[in-house]
Amino acid sequence: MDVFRRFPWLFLLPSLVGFLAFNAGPILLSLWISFTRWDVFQPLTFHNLVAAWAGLENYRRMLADPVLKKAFFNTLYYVTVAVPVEIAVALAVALGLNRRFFGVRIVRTLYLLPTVTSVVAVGLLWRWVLNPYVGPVNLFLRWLGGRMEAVFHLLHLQVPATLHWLATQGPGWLEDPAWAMPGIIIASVWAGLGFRMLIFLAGLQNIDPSYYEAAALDGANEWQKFVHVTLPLLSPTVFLNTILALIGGFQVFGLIYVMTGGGPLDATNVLLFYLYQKAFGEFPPDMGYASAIAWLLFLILFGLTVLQWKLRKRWVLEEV
Amino acid sequence: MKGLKGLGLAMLLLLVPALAKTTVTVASWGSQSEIELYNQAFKAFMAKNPDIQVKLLHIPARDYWTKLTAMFAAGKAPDLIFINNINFPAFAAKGLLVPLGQYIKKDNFDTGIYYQGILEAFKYRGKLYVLPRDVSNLVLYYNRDLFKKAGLPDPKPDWTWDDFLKAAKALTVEKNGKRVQWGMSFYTYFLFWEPWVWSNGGRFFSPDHSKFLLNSPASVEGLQFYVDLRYKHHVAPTPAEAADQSAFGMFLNGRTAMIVDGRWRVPTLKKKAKFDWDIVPFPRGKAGSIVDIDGSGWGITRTARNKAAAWKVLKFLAGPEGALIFTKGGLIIPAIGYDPLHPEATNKVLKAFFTPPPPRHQQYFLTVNKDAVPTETFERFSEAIRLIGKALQPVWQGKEDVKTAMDAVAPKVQKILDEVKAGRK
Amino acid sequence: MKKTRLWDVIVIALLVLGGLTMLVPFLWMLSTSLKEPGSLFDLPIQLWPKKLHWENYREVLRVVPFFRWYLNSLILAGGLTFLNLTSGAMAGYAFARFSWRGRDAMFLLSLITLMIPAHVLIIPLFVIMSRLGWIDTYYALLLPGLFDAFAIFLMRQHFLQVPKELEEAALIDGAGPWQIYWKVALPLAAPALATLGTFTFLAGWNSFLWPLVATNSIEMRPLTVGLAVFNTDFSTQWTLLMAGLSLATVPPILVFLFAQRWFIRGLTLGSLKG
Repeated sequence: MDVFRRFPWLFLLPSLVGFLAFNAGPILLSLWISFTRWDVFQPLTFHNLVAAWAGLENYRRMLADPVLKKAFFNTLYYVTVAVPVEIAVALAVALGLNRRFFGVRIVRTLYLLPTVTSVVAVGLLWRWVLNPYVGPVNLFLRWLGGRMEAVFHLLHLQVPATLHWLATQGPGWLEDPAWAMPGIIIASVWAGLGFRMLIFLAGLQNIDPSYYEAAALDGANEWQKFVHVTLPLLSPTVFLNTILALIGGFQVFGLIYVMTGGGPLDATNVLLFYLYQKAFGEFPPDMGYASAIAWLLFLILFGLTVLQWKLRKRWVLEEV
Repeated sequence: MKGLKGLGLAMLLLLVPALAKTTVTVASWGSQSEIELYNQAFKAFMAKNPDIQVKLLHIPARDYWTKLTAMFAAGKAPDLIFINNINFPAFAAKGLLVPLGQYIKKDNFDTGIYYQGILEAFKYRGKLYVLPRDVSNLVLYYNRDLFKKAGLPDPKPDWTWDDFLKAAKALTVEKNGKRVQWGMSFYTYFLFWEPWVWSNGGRFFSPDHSKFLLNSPASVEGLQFYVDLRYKHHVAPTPAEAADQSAFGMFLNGRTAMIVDGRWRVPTLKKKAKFDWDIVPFPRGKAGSIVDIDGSGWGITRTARNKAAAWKVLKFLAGPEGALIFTKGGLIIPAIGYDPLHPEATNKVLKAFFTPPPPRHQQYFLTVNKDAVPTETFERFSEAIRLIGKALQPVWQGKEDVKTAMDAVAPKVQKILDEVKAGRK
Repeated sequence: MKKTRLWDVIVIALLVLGGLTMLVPFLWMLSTSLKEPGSLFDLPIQLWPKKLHWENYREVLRVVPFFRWYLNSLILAGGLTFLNLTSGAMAGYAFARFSWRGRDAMFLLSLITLMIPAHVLIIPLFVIMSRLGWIDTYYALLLPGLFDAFAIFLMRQHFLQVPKELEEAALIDGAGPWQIYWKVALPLAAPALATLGTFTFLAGWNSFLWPLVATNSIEMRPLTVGLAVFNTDFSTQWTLLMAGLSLATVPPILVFLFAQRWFIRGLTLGSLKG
């Protein structure tokens, strides 16, 4: 199926040089550091790393670290909820924007604005939006709850406790350990939407319109066109976006840093945030442990990616 | 051939003075105006020491250690580094700084010009490693208009917790069953509640950092008094009442009448406050009025290429001349207090500190330093305080009392203390 | 026909509404940049200031080497984009159209670089750059962009999605792989290149941690790092910070508006073929 059968030296040369010069070294070093007690203030030399050898100590520490365990499950929580939502919403928006109408370029640009807006501004604004006492989200929920309560009263029904809670209080969002993660998920799906949408959009542009014309001649409706034409032809892009979303989901960081700082009570402490705390947030830094967390993260991601890679032949067109 | 040799020799001669000139790099965080003060100080220094070139390595505050660790790892650490007393023990314990004793002795440098508290903060195992530039401490800011409205006189500098509580109650106003004004703004960050522990005779740890003491009776009582302001006496806003307003924002908008805060608030208050305000020392508890004296200064790194030159720079920056330049910038409280041995040099620095009022009683920023103590930091303080902060979260929400929370976290912090102690041997 | 029309209107209205929410933080950033210094605490919250303080912008341009930082950011983002569009697209093509032993393993290996958080790689990379003597130069800022797994991945998927009949036809006509790449494959890749270019530019423009660590002098900083000077522990100068950040949004927005022309070009080329 491939056009050429040989090793494409020329095509790969720049990337290979870059990889060997600036990627391979740091990656191997970080792996080595994860097996050491290396003190970041000592020069990073062969001698110092050998002297600081700690074997599996950092990995053993991870097993006994309750915060790490919490961060691990928080990350899983985030990924299982955020990634599917992100993909579905981004695909829907991309389909919607894959048409020509007056001002479409501007609307597309709007979706990319959160990426150019400072993450601090985005995070602080979301904190206000989700403020449990005066934020617009809860003001709306309370208003809604109040209306619904009124309906119950009107019908002389007993008001359910949840409804009363909604009408008077509402979720505590970032201040409540149970609601903080949903808050973060909403904010980050919203903020990352433009990025995913754009990748889908580029993929959609590649689909030859004649396919749709043919499908229309066969009397296919919009949904059938989507399932039988768009999805299969778009599958390489879906594959790309899913893997990128997974990697991105396991490495969610920026908004957590601004919005909750991992709190309350570690409810939004995810693996990358915990790693960051160990590497740069706490003093003195614990680079050995941070590197070990990085490699744990890597193992999870690599496992998932290889799994996807094996499964891709079942659903990704052109890969068969 | 000969001509070439001669040319080579001439070039060599030209190079020699250039090579002989030592360069000292000073790493520091700071705002744009601080960068300018540094350059001003360096200029003054180089005018006197033409053989030494001083260079600033500015690093944004939040990422200071990220950049520095990378430089250390590459074996390219700067010669002088700016450091605060919170991170200092961890850094000193690694042997990365040069003890200053020998230089101080050789030059007969008078360290008596600095506040004792901040000098203590920069000692590790009895040796001084850093000369301080500035101190930060806490005073109580109050809204004079609201005090007058409540019929209260200005608080006296020796007022007590009882006086404070009475005032706070009088300053809390209800309208239609809802509180609209509170006596006092409420912070939850540890730097702001330390004085409540210390002034009640409590401590975080024993002086040698071998025992966790925040769950001891005196500490618990002091901190509980602070928490009670919010939930028992209700003279400080709860999280729901504060909603999206910051502690300082509430004071600035006249929603609270008092706030315990630092000198860094003065410029904003001067510019924005629509009321008359002043400062007064923190009220006296059982053990007196003890606030924190934390600060920052410079130390010479172990890897500095020319330590003698680095000391010269350090001596200048932290000495009266450098202090005068930084104090005139109006951003800091100088670490130099009054020194009877060098009245003229130290007086100049102190004079530069005073700016036109408000606050009328700005001398309190200096006088509180006398009894102030540094934050009880040690090698793994940042880890310990993170645990303590987490344990206090339900306390700030009124769901748990101080004693329960501190008892619960005690074994975890004690474990860190034990490990540190074992590591010191 | 009429039903589709109505459906279109609803969809577009929803999309515009969603897009408008994206505008809010951006506007908030702009409005903060126009407020009186220290006004962040004003009550009630002002979404738009009554009096516009344009002098914040003058102040930013005056107190810091803003244009130098802007230039550095342009060089950084532009340079990385150039590297990605050449080296990344080439490698992506190789992975999509060539076959050799160990290709899949190599591709997965390249993805590894996306899976290890940059936080633990930065110090080793700094040490390597420092050995090379490139700290505080554009080399240190740009050359790590030579290899970018994201670019390779994106381009690979794109080339896989494009029918290869045209390329096969060119091969029969006797064209070499290099010619086919330049003359046939790359022009058809315009939408993907535009997407990749937008992302790389954005990523380069927003990058913070590596430029922070890799530069020593204030003159070498890009905007993101330079503006951090307004952000100190107890006294963030929000108005100046936001003024600087607002000015910083102009190039990425222009790049994106500009890149969209290629989106449409890709579409028409595709339909010509049909």
